Amino acid sequence: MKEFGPEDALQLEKPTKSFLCPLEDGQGIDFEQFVISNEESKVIFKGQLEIDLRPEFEGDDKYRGIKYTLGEEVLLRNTLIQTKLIFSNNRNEPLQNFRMVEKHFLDEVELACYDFTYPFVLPNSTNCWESLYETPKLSEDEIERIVANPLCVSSDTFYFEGNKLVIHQKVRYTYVRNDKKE
Amino acid sequence: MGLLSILKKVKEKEREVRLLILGLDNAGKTTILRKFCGEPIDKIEPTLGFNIKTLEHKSYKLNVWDVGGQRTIRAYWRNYFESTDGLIFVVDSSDRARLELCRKELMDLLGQEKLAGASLLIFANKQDIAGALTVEGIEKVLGLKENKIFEKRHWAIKACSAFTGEGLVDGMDWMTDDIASRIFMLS
Repeated sequence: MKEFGPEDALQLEKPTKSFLCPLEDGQGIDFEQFVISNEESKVIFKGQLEIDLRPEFEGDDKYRGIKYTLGEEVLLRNTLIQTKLIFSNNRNEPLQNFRMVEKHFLDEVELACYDFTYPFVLPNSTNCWESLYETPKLSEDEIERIVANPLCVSSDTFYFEGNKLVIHQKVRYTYVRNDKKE
Repeated sequence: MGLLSILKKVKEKEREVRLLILGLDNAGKTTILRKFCGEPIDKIEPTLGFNIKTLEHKSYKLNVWDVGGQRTIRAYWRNYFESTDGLIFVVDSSDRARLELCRKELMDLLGQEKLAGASLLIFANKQDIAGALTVEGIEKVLGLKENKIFEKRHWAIKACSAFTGEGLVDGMDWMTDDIASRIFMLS
């Protein structure tokens, strides 16, 4: 079988059913922190991730799914956000052409696609990547649907070393309306 | 569809520039970047890898790569030269003992083919420290006026203090204007 490469990730049309590489392949690459800030550099999300126990995941994969809870008002209305990711390469070897392809979906429709390559990651290094994004522009109907149906927005993140898939993360997002009574 | 098309438009519209910040360890590379962005600078640790930051300045989108300056990391600098529009070389003006090493590292960078087209901004940092060498002093030690290597290069040297922020905007303005005049002249 042909291996799943960056081009396949870019062409992915809906969320994958399962993880496409073994957990061990990403050994030594550790994600330390993920922060989202708004335009005024105010932190609006800081790595509060939860394990997303999904019945369709088996064995160790049960613990590979992630859930994020975010504020609806910031992320879905075509605003500029800043993301900050800190990750370590704890291997004694550098990572060459380390590439992230991330796809966001609303149910099975693509919302966004991010593609970024780090040409070189030093061995035994800690690295910080901060980026600016415009969030997708959604219709009021779509926003209502997302808020009413937690977890219908999901993402598949693929990390490649060259063309080889080494990390696959699956995240589901809940968007909370701030004025909602708890 | 969706964000991808928006991003493409942003890219065309917002004119992207890639900057690389290098210099010896403890020169203040990360502090300059943080201070320029208006972020706190009290908890900055030695960079043991890279910091990549996208920011907007004068309607340009700057992709800034700040790579650690420790001796072991310097050997890997060359992996980050590709597609660099501007090189910012940071000098600790108070570290007189290592100015000669600074000069050697800078000369080595300027001899690199992949950086041949890059504009060069030298930040004479830490001007707030008593006893720091002046811009003129740094210019002399680095041989900026005499050396033929600078004749064809777009370059500037600016005094700054990453601690107070003085001089940073001035330097970054020069860098963006210089790159813009080379790259975006026709757009």
